[in-house]
Amino acid sequence: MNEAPSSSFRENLIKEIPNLRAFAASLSGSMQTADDLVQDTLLKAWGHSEKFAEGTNLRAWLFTILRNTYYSMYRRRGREVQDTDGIYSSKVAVQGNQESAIDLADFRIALAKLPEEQREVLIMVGATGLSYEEAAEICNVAVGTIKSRINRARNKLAELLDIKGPSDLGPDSASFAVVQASNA
Amino acid sequence: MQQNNFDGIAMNHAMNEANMDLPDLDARTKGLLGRALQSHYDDLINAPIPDRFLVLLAQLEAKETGDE
Repeated sequence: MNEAPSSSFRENLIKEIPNLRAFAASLSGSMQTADDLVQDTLLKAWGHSEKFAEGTNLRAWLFTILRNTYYSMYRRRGREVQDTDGIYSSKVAVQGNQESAIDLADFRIALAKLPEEQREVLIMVGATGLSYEEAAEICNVAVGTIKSRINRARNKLAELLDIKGPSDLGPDSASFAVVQASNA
Repeated sequence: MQQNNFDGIAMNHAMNEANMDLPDLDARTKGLLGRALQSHYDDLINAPIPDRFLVLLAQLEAKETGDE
């Protein structure tokens, strides 16, 4: 006998929809694919609600379903590296965030260039508030592997965005090297 | 990627991944990347949610009730 999911389960699912969409869009690069993924995830979560252990992290459980669905059903469609269906179009022009010296559009292009296994982990731990341990469980790898992937992801982003180093040398670093060489 | 031939290979793979670690980035770069990542994600989080999801969940719940 299947026990019907409770109304509170439904309410909690609704609360997770923004996060599920954001994660799915980050994975797939397409909001349309993201919405299909979220729909599949909600259907599966509803159908298997008895498998969710009360008191554990619902977000982590849903991410596991969404991620498995993506890798088994959607990935072969090929990821759109560019922002083809206008996920961000409304925001890109408006972003004038002084806190961040990185242009958001540049950042998104760099993020899309990361290997999937690095991008998903960076998003989970760096943006959604999941712990290393939860990310490790979702991806079915060791915690050390998660830490390693995040470090690689950061290094790759820094390289792509040309921001590596304690102070941003930018274009001057090349001429600095020339000066050093000529002084030698 | 074939990773499950036997445990030894899987373990080697995991160790290789750890051993080839790049140096930890400086705090400033990590801060910049962290803030950019958060801005990127916040935009997605704050995007309006299509009605289809609420409709779907309402239908699923109505179906459960109807089945009683």
